[in-house]
This record gives sequence, C-alpha cells and structure tokens, in this order.
Amino acid sequence: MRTYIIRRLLLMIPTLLLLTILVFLLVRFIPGDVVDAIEAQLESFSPGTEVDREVVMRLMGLDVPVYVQYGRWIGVLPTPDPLTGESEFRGLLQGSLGRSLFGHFPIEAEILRRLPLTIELGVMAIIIGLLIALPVGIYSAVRQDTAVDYAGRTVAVIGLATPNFWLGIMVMVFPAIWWGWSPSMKMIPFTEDPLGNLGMFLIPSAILGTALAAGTMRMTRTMMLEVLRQDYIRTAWSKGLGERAVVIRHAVKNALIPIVTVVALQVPLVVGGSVIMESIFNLPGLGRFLLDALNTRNYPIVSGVNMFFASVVLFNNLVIDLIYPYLDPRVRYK
Amino acid sequence: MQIAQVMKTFAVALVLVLAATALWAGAETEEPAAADADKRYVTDPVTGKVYTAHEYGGTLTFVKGNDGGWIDAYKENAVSMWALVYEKLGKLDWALDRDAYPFTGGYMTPLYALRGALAESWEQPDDTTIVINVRQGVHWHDKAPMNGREFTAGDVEHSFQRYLGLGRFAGDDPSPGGGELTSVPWESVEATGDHTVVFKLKEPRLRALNLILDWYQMLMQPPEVVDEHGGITDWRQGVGTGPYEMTDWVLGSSFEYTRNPNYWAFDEKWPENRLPYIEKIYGLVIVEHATRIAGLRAGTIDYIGHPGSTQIFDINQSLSLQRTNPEINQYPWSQRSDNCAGINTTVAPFDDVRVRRAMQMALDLDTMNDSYYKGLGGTIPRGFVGRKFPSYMTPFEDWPEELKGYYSYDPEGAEALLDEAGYPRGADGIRFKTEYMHFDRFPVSWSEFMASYWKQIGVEIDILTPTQAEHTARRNAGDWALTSEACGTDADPMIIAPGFRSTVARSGVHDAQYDAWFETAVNASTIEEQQSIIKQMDMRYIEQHWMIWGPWAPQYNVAQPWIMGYNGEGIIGGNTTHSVFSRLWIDSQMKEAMGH
Repeated sequence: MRTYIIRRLLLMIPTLLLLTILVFLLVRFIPGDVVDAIEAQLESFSPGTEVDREVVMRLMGLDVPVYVQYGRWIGVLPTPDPLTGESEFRGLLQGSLGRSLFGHFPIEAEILRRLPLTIELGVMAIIIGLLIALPVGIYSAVRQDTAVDYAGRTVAVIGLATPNFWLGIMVMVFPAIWWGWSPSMKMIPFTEDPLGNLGMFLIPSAILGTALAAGTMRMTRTMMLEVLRQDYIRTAWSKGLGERAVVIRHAVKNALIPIVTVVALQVPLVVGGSVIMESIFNLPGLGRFLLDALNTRNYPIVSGVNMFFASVVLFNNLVIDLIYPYLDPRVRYK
Repeated sequence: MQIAQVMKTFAVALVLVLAATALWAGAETEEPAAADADKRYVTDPVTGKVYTAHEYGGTLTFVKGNDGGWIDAYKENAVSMWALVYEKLGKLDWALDRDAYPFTGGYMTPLYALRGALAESWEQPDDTTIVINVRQGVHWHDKAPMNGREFTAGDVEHSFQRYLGLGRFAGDDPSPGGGELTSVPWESVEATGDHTVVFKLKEPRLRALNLILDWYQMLMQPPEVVDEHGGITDWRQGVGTGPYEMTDWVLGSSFEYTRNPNYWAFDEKWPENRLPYIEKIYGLVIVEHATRIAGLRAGTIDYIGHPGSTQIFDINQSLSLQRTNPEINQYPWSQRSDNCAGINTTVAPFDDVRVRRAMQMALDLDTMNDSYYKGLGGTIPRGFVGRKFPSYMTPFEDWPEELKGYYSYDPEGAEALLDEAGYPRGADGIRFKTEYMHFDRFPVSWSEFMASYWKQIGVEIDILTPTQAEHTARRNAGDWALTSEACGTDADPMIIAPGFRSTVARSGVHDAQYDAWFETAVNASTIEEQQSIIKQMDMRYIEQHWMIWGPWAPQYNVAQPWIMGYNGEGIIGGNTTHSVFSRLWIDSQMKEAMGH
C-alpha cells in the first residue's frame, strides 16, 4: 500500500508539471488580452478610449516572452515588482500562485479566504443530493416497475434535464414577484450568524444538489437492482430475513461502493456548478472569482485558481482510490 | 316573533360591527395623516421636486456590475470604485440646471459646468501657465498614515507629477490611461506655497485647465502611501479627502463605504447642510440581471443604475418592474444611442459609401422604435456629438435634403445603391454576406432585429457574440466588418472625437481630412474655433456614414421611493460613478412603513 501511495505521489509530479503548462497557456489562447479587456471596460463609458498598451503590459509584468512569464510563475525565475523594481523568486515552488494584475493582491490568500464558502456550498449540495438520491434510488429499486419507481425515475430525468442556471433564476424571479421575497444578497458569515449563513446557502445548495441527486439516484437504483439479484441476497431472503434487514444490511452496503466513486467524481461538477450558483446568488466563492478573472483576462488568477482546482481533483482521485480497499476488501493495491 | 328577534339582534350586531370597522379604518387613515403632518418637506431649488426633509444616517444598498479590483488611479480605472473616497480638483456643479448640462456620464465635464472641489479657484496669467489655489480646511481621512493631516498644494503636486511622469517621477511612464491629459505638452507642476500649485505648459492648450480640474482618473491620492509602497497596492491603504471612507471590500462580491464625519463640503443646493447624509453605502457586485431586479422587488436593494453600470437596458424588464412594483421609481436615462452599428470602412464592401448608405436606408427606424422600444426611443439621427452640445453639431433639420434622404427608410433606394456599387442579388437573392459583432452588454435581439431588415435588401448577416475583451481585440486588429456601437453621446465631444482618427486601430476609419481637422481642433485657441471644427468633423462623420444610426432608447436608473434628492443623475463629474450617493438621503420613516 505504501509503495502504491509513493508511486501515485511520484506520478503526480509530471502530471502537475503538465498541468502548470496547460493552465498557464490555455488562458493566453483565449481571444482578447488584458489590455483589450481594460479598453472594453473603458469603451462602455466612452467610445474610442485608448490605453498605452506597452506601459500596461510592463506594469503588469507581461512585457516579457511567455516562457519567462511561465518561469516566473512556477518560481524558477525571479519576479520583479513592477512598483518597487525589487526582484524575488515568488512562484508555485515557493508556495505562491502569483499576484492579481489589478489590485496586486496575493492570489493564494484570496483563494484561502473564498475556499470555505465554496466548500460549504459544495458539501451542502452533495449532502442534499445524497439525502434525495439514496432513499429514492433504493426505494425505486426495491419497488421496481411500480408507480413509485416510475415517479422516481421521472423526477430523476427532469432533474438531469433542468439546467441549474434556469432553476436558480426562477427561484430568484418568482418569489420576488409573488411575495416580495428574495434570498439574502449580502454574505452572512457563519461565525456571525450560523443559522442565517446556512439559510443563505440552502437554496443554491438545494438547486445544485438536485442536479447531482438525479445522476446519483439513477446509479443507486441500477446498483441496487444488480445487487438484489445476487445469490447472497436470495440466500438472505430464503433464511427468512425481513425486507429491512435484507435491503439495508445486505444489499445497500454493497450497492453503495460504486456510489462512493460517483459522489467523489461529482466534485468537479460541484466546482462547475458553483460558478453559476455563486453568480446568481451573489456568493463570493472561488467559482465567481474565476469567472470574474476570466472576463477581465486576469491571467494569474485564472491560472492560479485552475491550478488549485486541478490539484484538488488530483488529490481527490487519490483519496478515492485509497478509500476503496476499505470499502471493498477484494480490492488490494500492490 | 322569535325569528324577528333574531333578525333584530343580527341587524344591531351588524351595525355595531360596521361602526367599529369604520372607526378603526378612520383611526388607520388618521394615523398616517398625523405622521404626514409631522413630516417636513423641502423643495429642490433646481428641479422643483418636493422631498421629505433631509435626514442624516441610514444605509443605501446599490448594485455594481463589476468592481474590477482597481485601486491605484495611476495604473487602473480606479475612479469607478473610489470616487466617493478620492476627489479631484473640480467637480460637476450639482446645483446646475439639469437642462443646462446632462448629468448622464462622460469622461470629463466641460469647464462651464464645473465648480471647484479641492481647487478653491484658478487663474491663467498667460497662455502657458495655470495657477490652482488649493482649498483650505480640507483634511485627509483620519486614518494612518495620513491621520487627518491637512490637504496641501504638495499633495496636488505629488499626484500630478506621478500621473504625468514629471518632477520627482521624471523617468517613470505617464499613466497608461492618461489619454488626453498626458498628451498635453506639460513642462512642470510645482507647489509654490502651501495652497498654490503652478502648472506650466510647453505650448498653449485650450483644454489644459479643464483637464487639470476633471480628467476622470486625476484623483488626489495619498502621497505617504504611494511613497511607502511604490503605489497603492491594497484597498486598505486607501485614504482620501472625500465624503466616504472605504471600510470593506470583498473583491467581486461587496464593498462598503462609511461616512466621513469631517467632510469639508456642503450641499450645493442646500448650503447649510454638511455632506454627506447617508451613514453607510453598501455596494453589491451582482452580475445577473434577474438577481438585481429580484433584490429591488424584495426591497433588499435600494438602487440600480448608471453609477454602478447596472441600469436597466431592456424595455420589457422596465415595464415588467413597473407592472409588479409601481412604487419603485424608474428614471429614464439616456447618454447616447447604444443601437448604432459601427462600420469598418477600410474593408470591402463597406469601403464604398454607397454600401454604407444602403445599410442605413434599409432600416425603418420609426417602426423599429415603435415595435422594439414601444415608441419610447428617439429616431432623429445625429452624428457622434450628443443632443446636449448644440454648439458642436448640426441638427438634423438643418442637414441638406439629400443627406436626410440617406437617413430615411427607403429599401428600393438601398437596393439601387447596392446594384450601382456592384453588389447585385445572386441566384439565392443574397448580395453579400458579412459578420456583425454584437457587444454582449446589450440584448442580442436588437442586433437580430437590424439583421432582419438588412436581409430584406439581400445582405446576409452572421451575428457573432464575442466576449467584450475578444470584441475589442478583433476591432484593434481590424478583423471586423460591422459591430454594435454607441453614437450621439452626451459627453464632451473632444473626448469622443479622437475615437475616429486613423491612428485609432479600432475606429475602422481612415480619413486624412478628419485627422487634419482633429489636430486643428486640439490646437485651437478659442472655444468657438474648436466648436466650429468639431461641427465640421461631426458632419463629415454623418456624410460619410461611418456609423449606421439606430434609435436612442431610454435606459433606466431605478431607485426605491425612500431615496430622496434623486432626479436620475448618473455622475457628479468625469466618470465619478457612485458620487451621486453623497448628495442623497433616506426617508427612514417611509422605508420602515414599507416594511424594510
């Protein structure tokens, strides 16, 4: 097991290196650079406004070749401070994700500040998703081809087919028209008002969770149906065990093993969904941070946040693989 | 007998209930009447509107589309976040008649509409010298490292020298967004006393004083902070002289301004009142239109509009809000037409003026206005100069008849022009295909609407919806044909005019005559001379059809009914977004009575 972990960790090094190149370069392939974004912003006030491209690029440290920018970003080349002129090694190797092109703040600090919010949204969404998916999926399998099963499957298909952004907007629009009510738009910190905070996250999490639940519910039903046809389940029935014992104690436990993988693989979906939910419900999380940075072509933030997300997904996959032997004793790593 | 008794008892009970209800209802109506009697009212000396009297305190929550993270005016568009904190030397006169100058927007306020802010007064002893007398009794916010020290001429010198790359900042680049201000041939900026600053020019420039007073980015920023950090690198370092301090900023989400109790200025309309009135101003950065409107309906948001770049663009959204919440005030706001189409006149087929004319003649502006804008827009064409600058433009009624014809709906005439220009209809009925870049800030349906008219004359349009950055990049590269564009802007024409020079890559215009006129206008020695040249340039723009005119349509600044002192204004000076909030107050009684 230890060898396996070491091997996986070592394999991560080239993967992460490749990731740094990808996340660094991809954002630069998007048409329109940071100066264009600035001009577009100014254009909305007054047509024809120009900025001195050369000076802006110099002030932002973008006036050097891309490979030098990359070297600075990963920390193998020194980064000069555009304001003070002093140079220092300040990159990924030194634990820095760089500084924002506007405002000049350190990106890792901003990520850490926003991370709890995105985690809260994601965790609540996954929990809500599971609370819906597991009972419905299990019941649907146990009562296969009954009205309840059809209803559960129909709801799942609707859940899969309904776009998050549409549902989010509907939740915003109609309660405001009907009852003059809207979810809170100012961030309520958990430390100041725990109930208010949970209330604020409940609706976006529920919307995100509903979408996640649909897939998980279908997977749960399928796995349960497969397990319920296994010999050991038939044996359990023939021993005269009650339905509750057969389903909960014997079937669900085994059916849930692949569900763990499915749920873990939903992490990237939660990250994607959080971008939309955070925008609609005005939550200052990482998804919103990334979206704003993309619109303004704030390269270091886009690269930094993507690098962070990519690393989280990599480690998430490793953790899933490590958990698996505990869930299924047949799985062994050498 | 028994039934009659029951009926009688029932009738008596009914009368008693009705009487009690009437008394209760009377009491209900009497109470607000008594409250109203206690209320004091003031009449706006400029607009004549009546408001409940000024009160200090309260909060205002408004929405901004994007906060950008801009902090340092030297290198960023900081004015869009900091106009309540940092001040300029001049400001738009809040007491000015709203018909004399539009409070809609623009990078710089013309001299006639300005009054002193941090500058008390100014003189021009000769053509190349401007003396600014700095206002006395102004203090920086009571926050380190400025700690409430007095604002002096040295502070003005520091900010200008840094922005222009002069004096102690000689050798540094001028501000990259310096535009017209940094293009002036400055010789020096020096404080010659505690409250006197002398600006020297290498050669005369008519607009130099105007630029000193109100160039949009020319904010007075704290010298101690700039010297210590090499610039302003964190919002917490922001210390100004303005009506508010920034006390919180969660990037991309929200920010908060808190009243500066020692602010130096008094209300221009009610000079006995020290500004500002509102205690806390909260800004929420909300990208989604539906979320903004929901917040308004629920009363959690007090204001959306131009100061946050969140005005309602969509007429249907405005009508829907009016239907569901008639108590919310909507102020029509129109700085320009956002429905024009820019043309790249340097590429075929639009390098032929006949094709450009045909594109204009294909549009039935009146019908388009009636159907799309419910008749609320305006269809009378104009050039790049807005309605509020009559001395710089020729009004439509004075245009030559032939030119008027080119701006009128005439599809047959348009087809004839295209035939003449060598673009006959093909077998499929198409004359040529081209691309139209839609600017994603506005509803795409308008672009589709125009395209449907062009299709009728055989021009097939492929509408692209690039991001704003990509849109600008393609324009800068000359890789475009048609695009969404604004025209007829109610802003200083000398700010708009440079946008059509051949040297501006994204203008899509190459016209030596226009370029020459522009240089003459820059070097003009009198306002009248400058106006006359701009008028010629505007007519050139109109005659050459460098843009396809689309009707201007109202956008809406929206405020809750408890916001007092507001008349739909967008700014108080060149791009000083948010600044209007420093002149407004809240009717807290009304707000509470409405359940908020």
